[in-house]
Amino acid sequence: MVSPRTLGVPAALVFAAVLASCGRLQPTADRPPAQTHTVTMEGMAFQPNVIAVAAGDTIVWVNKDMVPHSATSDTAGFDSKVVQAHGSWQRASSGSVTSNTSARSTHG
Amino acid sequence: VNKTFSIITVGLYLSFGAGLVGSQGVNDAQIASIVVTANQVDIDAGRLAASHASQDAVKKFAQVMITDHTGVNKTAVELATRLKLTPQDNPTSQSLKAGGEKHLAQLKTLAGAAFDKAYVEHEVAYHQQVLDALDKVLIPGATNAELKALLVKVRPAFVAHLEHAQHLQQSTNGGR
Repeated sequence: MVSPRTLGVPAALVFAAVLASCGRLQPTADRPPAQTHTVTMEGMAFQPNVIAVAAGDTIVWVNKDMVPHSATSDTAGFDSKVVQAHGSWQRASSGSVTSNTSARSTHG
Repeated sequence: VNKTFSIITVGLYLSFGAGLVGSQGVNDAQIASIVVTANQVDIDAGRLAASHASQDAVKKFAQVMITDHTGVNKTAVELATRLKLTPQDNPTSQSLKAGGEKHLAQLKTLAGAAFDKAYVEHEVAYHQQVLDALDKVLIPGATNAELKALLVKVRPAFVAHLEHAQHLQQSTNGGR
């Protein structure tokens, strides 16, 4: 569910994360180095809107708009709160996920 | 521009879109003035609504309008300053300012559900006209590439504002 705080904030974008567990994590030795993925918030949309993230990777949301946004998971229990215009917020992934970052305007 | 709609349902004359569409064209300095004035008018209305609206949802919307339009104005002023573009007063800016003052005066006579309804209806008409002006006059008329890009970039936020205001209309009109 979308957090109540986000509802009613039309300029905020909701990070609709679809967390699909990939089952067991790979052994440490086989894992590729951790990566940083950047998702931009621009023009009231996330770009890219789908990313694949491995355990240990970091996702950085960069707000390139003139208005505040937020990145809020529908299911994964994270919420950036307000990401100011030209600001950013990051979160390390605790598991392998495929994140659907399709954006939508939120209305209270 | 649905001028009749704005007059009848809002009870105020918002000449922004209609005035601009009928103009002979505007230069970048005038566009800068129009952008700053248009944002300021909505900030002022938002400040009144944030404290006077009766519904929490309307108060939250008003706060978003304050935040977002302040952000847009900050960026617009920074760009104008960097481009050495001095906002030039013009009939559209003057009309916007006068319309905003008239709207505020009318809102101050209202309270409760009537206030919410008038504010939200005006926000719907206002954002429709801003978008109309952006599409028909401001974006096509901007000659500086950065100014044009700013106008293009801000458009989605105004669309979201319009959709939000239209959503609020359902509750301020008694759920219809």
